[in-house]
Amino acid sequence: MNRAQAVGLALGVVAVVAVAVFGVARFLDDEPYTYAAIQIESPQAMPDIRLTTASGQSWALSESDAEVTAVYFGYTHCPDVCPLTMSELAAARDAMPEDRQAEFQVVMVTVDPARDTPEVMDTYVHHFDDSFIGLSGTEDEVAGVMQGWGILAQREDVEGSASYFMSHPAGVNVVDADGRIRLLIPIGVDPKAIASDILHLMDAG
Amino acid sequence: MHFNPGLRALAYALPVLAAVSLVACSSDNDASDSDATAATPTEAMAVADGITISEPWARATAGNPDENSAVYMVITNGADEADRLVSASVDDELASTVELHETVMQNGQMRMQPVEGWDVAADAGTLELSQGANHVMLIGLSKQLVVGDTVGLTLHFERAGDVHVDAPVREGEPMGMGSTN
Repeated sequence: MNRAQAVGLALGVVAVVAVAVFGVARFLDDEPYTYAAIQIESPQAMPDIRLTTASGQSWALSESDAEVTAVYFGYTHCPDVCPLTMSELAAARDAMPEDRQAEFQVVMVTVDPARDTPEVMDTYVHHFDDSFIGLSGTEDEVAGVMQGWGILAQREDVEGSASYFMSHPAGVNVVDADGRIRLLIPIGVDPKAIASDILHLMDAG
Repeated sequence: MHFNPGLRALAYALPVLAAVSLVACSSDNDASDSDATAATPTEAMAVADGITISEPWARATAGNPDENSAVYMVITNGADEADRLVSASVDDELASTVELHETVMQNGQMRMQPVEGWDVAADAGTLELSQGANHVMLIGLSKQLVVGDTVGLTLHFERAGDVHVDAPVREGEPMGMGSTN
């Protein structure tokens, strides 16, 4: 190989590498899906939820057919954030193609079983969407689920207030078909973006 | 299809810059012409002694016994003196109590707490009561609030006195979607 050939080969190699790097960079630039919700980096399997729905029926997360389940911990006497969250999830479900909606299940677990009976939960969630499931149980059953999921909620009796309130976590837990927690949806995310996140989770696994 | 990163950043930045300058322009307009821009034309307004209420609405409820709800609105103080909303009330038969509340997030926990009042600055100062933040809370409703109903609410101001508002009952719209109905 003479000098000219060597230079030519070197340039060729550089060109091929450059094109390859550029191509890969472009591929990486375009491909990754960015979730609107907060992505859980190392998804963990969550403990099962087995509580009571209306008319005394038992419902278990492990027996659900849904591809993706949104689990929200709230209470029905909450006038602001809980209904806002429910309306966001209902709008997200509406924003999904009709033939995919059945793969997405929204579940609300009360953190206030003293007031929220299974019937109260049922009436409450159906106000937002007929497909939603409202869950309650005995104080011990609900406390067990909350402990397993690391959910903190506290009754707050405020001096001078006629009602009591509950502090509870902000955001919605999104679990996949294997019961692993994958996303946390904060309040205020565009429901179309939530729908897109859920669909991506269903398709990309 | 594929822009280099610099061009792409610029392409994203331009609409944002345009939006920012639009917002800047419109807030200039608000300052000189506050009454005309305070609410959309379809919204009822209540005016009393400089206080203007726009876009009032009460959240529809699910139909359980003894429910709570919230009322939201934008309050503008057109007077040249500051004012303060200190309490609110409804017909005794509708709710057992009405309180001023704020939703706060602390260490990832949502909490609600009663507040003693909110100041509304003079000269077109505004107080926004909106989802996920400040709201008038209706406690212990005697009946379900259904879309189409109206909640008659009286706001008590330190300076302006009582201001009556008729808040139509609506389903809450997600915040990220804007008002599309």
